[in-house]
Amino acid sequence: MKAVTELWSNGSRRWLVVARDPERIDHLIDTNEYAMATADEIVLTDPGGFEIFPMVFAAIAGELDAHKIKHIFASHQDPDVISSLSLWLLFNPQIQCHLSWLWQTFVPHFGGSADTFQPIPDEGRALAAGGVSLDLVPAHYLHSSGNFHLYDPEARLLFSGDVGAALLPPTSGLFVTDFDRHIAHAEGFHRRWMGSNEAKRDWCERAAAMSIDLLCPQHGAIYRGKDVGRFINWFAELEVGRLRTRGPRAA
Amino acid sequence: MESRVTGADLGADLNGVAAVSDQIRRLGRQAFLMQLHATNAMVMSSSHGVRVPGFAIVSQQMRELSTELGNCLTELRGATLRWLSVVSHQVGRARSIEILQATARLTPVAGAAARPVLGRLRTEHAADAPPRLAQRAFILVLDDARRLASTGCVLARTAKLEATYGDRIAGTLAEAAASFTELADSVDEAVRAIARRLTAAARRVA
Repeated sequence: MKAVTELWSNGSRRWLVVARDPERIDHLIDTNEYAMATADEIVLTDPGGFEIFPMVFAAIAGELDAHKIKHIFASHQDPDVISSLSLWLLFNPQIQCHLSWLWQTFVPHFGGSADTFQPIPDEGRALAAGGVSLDLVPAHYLHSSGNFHLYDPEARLLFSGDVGAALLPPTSGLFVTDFDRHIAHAEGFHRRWMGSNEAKRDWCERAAAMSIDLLCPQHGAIYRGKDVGRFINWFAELEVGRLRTRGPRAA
Repeated sequence: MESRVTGADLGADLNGVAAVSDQIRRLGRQAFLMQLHATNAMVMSSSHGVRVPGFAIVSQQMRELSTELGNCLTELRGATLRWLSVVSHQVGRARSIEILQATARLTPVAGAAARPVLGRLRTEHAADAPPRLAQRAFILVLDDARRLASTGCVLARTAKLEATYGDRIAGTLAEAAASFTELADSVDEAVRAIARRLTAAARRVA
């Protein structure tokens, strides 16, 4: 089962990460799910795919009252991000799913009604949950054409979707401890998945202007402290959106 | 109680829908050919200046029967679509039940949270077993199709008799009557095949 780790807390407000399932099915990409909990409401980010729902649900239910999940934030439309939506809605049909307006007629193929979806305009907006205001920050074309990240100014935590993701060996730790070693596992992913150098530069400028203690991707390890700045600088320099070789090993 | 209709059963249902759709397509071809042969027989008897009133009446009835069969096919297609829609919904729900069963097994807390939802899903799942729903819709339309197939067989036999009064085109009319017989038998067989599929589907949830 996936493990739950607390990333930050202040009174009843907490950020948790659900990650690293030792019994994970090999043919499914590993994902990290994050939960921001207040006394009354929980926001879940990129809750994951249909097949891993049991592990994610059981892990969250072990720490929090899962019935308090009122909001799901989907950074984009991919199946590993949001295909479990219909299962979460079984527990609370009132859950609001926040995602780019671009995907609001696509993601309902995974479930939900017209009332489920709260579209995010291209410029982003706030998400109010349990008396807390979170920022939904544009990250278009990184990698999806309608893509957002979620920033908590008080916790100084940025949920960065696929940005910062790394395809790590199974026994890797939850946090980046050796940046140079870690980034080797992130390079191919970013070169291939991120489609626009211009969008990447915009994001790097925006991220550099934020106060971020924790940069939390959907795959791989979490960047803390100075590694956050290191990652932003590395990403700014990386040329993306270009296939360097052809064939099945092109990534 | 475990969910009674499994993913494998529903997969079999999807195969059943595909097979029935195939039979309906076959029926559609027969109805078209029946119309074509009946028209051809009527044209043939009038162009040779031979009056074969009995055969003309039978040909006209064959034409009308093929039109009725066409209407019946439209209804069968509608019933198939409704069946497919329910089965697809059931496939999704059966998978949700499997996933929630796995969730409930993981930890006591997850089990306590998952069980009420699981119970609700199982109740819904049992209430609208797709073959039962499909049966209701299909049986009515199939009764019509069976009646048409039987009428077709009778008409084909009559056509064979009437062809003998065809004077110098008796041989040609006999060939047309043989085509009617072949088509009517084929329609009958296609309708029976659909009925067999439905019975098999109904047996799975019995």
